[in-house]
Amino acid sequence: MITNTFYAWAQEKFKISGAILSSKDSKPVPGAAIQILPSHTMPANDNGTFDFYVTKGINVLKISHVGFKVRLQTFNISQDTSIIVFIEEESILTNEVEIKNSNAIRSEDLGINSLNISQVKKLPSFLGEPDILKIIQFMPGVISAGEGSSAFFVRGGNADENLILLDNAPIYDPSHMLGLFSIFNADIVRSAEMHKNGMPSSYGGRISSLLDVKTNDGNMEKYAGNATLGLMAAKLYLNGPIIKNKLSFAASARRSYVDNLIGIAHRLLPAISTQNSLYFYDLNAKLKYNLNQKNTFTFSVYSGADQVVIGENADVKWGNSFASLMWKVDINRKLQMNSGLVASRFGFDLAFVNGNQNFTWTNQVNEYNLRQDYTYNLKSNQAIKFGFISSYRSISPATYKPLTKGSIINSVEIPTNYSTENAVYLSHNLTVKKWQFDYGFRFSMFTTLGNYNDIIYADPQELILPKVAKVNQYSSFEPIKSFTTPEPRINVGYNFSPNTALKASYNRMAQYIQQVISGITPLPVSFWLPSSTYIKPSVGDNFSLGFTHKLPYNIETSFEAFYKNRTNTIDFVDNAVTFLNPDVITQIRSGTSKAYGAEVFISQASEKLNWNISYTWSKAERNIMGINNDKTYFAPFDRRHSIAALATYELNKKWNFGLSWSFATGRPITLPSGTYQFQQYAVNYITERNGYRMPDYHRLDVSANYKPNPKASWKWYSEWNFSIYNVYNRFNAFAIYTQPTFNSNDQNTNSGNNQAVMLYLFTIVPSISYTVKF
Amino acid sequence: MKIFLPISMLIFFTWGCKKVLTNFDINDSQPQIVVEGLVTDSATVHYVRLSYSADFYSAEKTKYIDNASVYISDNQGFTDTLKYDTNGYYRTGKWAGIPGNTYYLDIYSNNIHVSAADVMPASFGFKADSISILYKEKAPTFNNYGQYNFGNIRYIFPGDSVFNVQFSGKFDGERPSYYRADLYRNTYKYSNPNTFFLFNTIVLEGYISKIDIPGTYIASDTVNILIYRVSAASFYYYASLRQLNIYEGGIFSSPSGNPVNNIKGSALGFFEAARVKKHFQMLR
Repeated sequence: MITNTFYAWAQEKFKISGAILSSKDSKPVPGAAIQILPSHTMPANDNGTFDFYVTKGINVLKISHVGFKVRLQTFNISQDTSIIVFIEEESILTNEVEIKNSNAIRSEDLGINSLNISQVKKLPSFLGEPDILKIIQFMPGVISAGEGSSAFFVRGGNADENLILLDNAPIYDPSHMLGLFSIFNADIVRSAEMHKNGMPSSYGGRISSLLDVKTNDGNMEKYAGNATLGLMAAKLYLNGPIIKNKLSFAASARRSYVDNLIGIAHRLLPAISTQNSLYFYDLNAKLKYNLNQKNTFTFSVYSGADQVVIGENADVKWGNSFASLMWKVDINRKLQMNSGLVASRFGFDLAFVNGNQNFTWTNQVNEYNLRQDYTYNLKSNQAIKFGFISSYRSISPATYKPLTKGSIINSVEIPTNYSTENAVYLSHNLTVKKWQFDYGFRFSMFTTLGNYNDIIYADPQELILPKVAKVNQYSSFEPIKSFTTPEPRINVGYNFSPNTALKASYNRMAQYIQQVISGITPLPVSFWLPSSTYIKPSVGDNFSLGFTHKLPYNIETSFEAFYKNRTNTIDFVDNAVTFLNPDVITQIRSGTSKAYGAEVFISQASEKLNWNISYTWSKAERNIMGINNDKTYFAPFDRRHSIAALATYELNKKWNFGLSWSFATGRPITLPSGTYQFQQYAVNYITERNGYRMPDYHRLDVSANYKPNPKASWKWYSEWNFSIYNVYNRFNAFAIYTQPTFNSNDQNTNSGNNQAVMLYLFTIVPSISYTVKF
Repeated sequence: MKIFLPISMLIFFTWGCKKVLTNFDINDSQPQIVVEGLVTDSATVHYVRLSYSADFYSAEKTKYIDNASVYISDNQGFTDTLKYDTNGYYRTGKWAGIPGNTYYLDIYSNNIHVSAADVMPASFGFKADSISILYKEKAPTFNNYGQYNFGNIRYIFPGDSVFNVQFSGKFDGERPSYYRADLYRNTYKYSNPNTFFLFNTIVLEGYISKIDIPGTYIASDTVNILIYRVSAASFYYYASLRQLNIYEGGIFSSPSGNPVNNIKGSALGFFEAARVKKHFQMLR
């Protein structure tokens, strides 16, 4: 989004145009920020050029960009002027550029937050692993699923409503170890931007948000990297030129070593079996090739997985992989094209052996995308964007088969489904006087394809032995069902002054695939279902209204209110049979959901101390026939109040500190209101879904980072990170369930001794890691 | 088969801890009629048991209904009026249910009419041909003492040999077919709903060999297994009961709720018409 600001003053005005170039190689610096002091700011275009109007007389330009020193340039303007400004690169010892005077979470625009990765690394982290998905949960309007989970919910939307991209590749399961960590290795992550109020017209397919994560490009000049040893994992990051100023690489590897510690633990305590294993790994690599000044190629790959081995009984593996090829072309001074080809995969594989009850269980998602995006800069204050994206998916939800010939296990399969999703879009952004407009239109189409047997049920809501009325067979690529959705997107802003703005937006989003999540947290076995005969596309309308204001001393404030409603929300009936059920459609009901709330965000950035605090009030409800006696109920991630605070403090060149504190009122849960006896069992009697609340959640984490030798002249330096998770040792509920007590004969007899039991995961957890940067 | 649930739990319970919440506020609820009824093809006295549900923290014992009128009939014109016995039990005369018949239950209590129906499967479809005993281990000498306490005949002491019991059999009827089993160690019924023993031909097929049955046993125990061929509705009722009982708060499992039953008239429980076969084995 262009944030150019254009003021029509009464004074005489002249045009100043030109380019921002690097003093090192005279190359354009795209996106450099040009500030006409005291306050007007705009970015250079993608080819480093700019043009705007200034008043006659003395004007001071301040030019800044990541990796470059700030440049102040004074001009005395009395006519239209063309200039070239050279800016000097900062000395870079590693590829990591530390951005000071900036918070870990920044508010970029209405409903858009970004992460400052260098600040994120200073914040406390669980077991020494900086995790952008955990920090995202501190953004206003973003709710966590709970302790130890990477799943997040944005403004009342479900976990599967977030489009997560890593170098333009969709990620279907972004977590390791069931959510304790994410797949994002902070060493190679360059940027992470969250669009909470829907997303730009160039993206779609999910209703709630877009999390766009990009990895570092390799340094074109020199080699750099770092190696880290932590409590949980070891990491290595390298980058540098292959051909100077032409071809660079960036690569990272991370592997946990809990499984290696099991061997050591076994020697201390023989009861711990060495046949168990648990680990995860991530491999990232990226090549960037500057064919010439106008053509750039990037090729990014990723492979990561988790593996759990339990003795001789079970071997489970799941993970993501992708390859992403992007081509950026400056066709001319005004027109730019970005093309992309992506292949992405998520797979889950379980092999279980227990005598003759052995089986394999797999699920898989494969997606292939082709996209082209064009940006046409009409003028400095307006641009047109247009393009298309075409996707092909094959989803194998669940295949359950005997592992060996003698197995007594029957095969069960939820058949593979195939689909295409295509979209074209057009948007225009325009700044006129104090107004900013960004409006567009996206038209999406989704088609399910054969090879497939489409089952038509006599009663699709029959839970027990649903009868099949007929089966329509479709051959490969034969269209089965198509859906189309027009998706208007409108964002309007008014700048009362350079420091104060009011903004409003409306976005309509369509989602054609939904994740079948049994509980609140997605598991690797949670599969995706496409829109079909019985599951219609979910369409969401997102409204928001926001107000931003800058105070003295670099304090920024913002207030946003949002309202979101969604059609064809799906949920499961009570005690739904979701695993390995080929008739899982019959366990699903659909209806409507809505969410609304307000967020307040305050931040201050300075040389030493950076902090931000956010408060969110929100409500998320569902109304689905066939669930909760057809009455409205709270969504499982509904949290009335949440507060998040982050702070970093740079004491001196050697020491810096981080702090994070979060609070949220408890999420809804289903608990019994009564009990009864059936045979010898004491059975829970449920009166409503999500009628109770977990206890409130709050937690304080602190960190300290120590550089023994911070001098820039050293070729390498080391850094220690000390973190304490859950400093005041609060027992935050992970789950609450009820249980009767059992008598000495292992029988429960409804004796009136029922209990509510809380399960909590973590107490106080200290950690330490050591990093060498070179 | 919810194998992934235990794997997930393995990881979280490695760190997880439990705490009983003594002050957790749970609402009161209106008492509901609970129906528990079983008719089999065995020539015996069948039963229906009626009670009320209670508040979750209620210290009262189960309140039984002792003044209801209870009738069982079938689609062939047979009717039996049940007589109240004790502790909520209403008993029939001695007769055997007929496979393939539909059985109806009607209850009148305090101006409330509750009814149910279930079809007794026509065939049994499973032939258990052996029960085998598998030595497991010596009862451990530390911290698991009492874990194997099951039935009041004899405690299991450290050093005792304990055994698992397995059975084998073959599915030989129409598909799909559904089964549940009641297990007894000597005269005591194994009654932890976490391990309801349920199996069907959706997941298993052909000759099933050496299925572990829940429980551990010592020499001189007698194992009794009653295998019921039940309707699909009954099977899913018990499966839902098991799921309800192991519900961990919705982190990984689908939302919890009252099992779908075959009772009309806002009552809980289930009325079941099943075929039954009994097997026993003495451990020597």
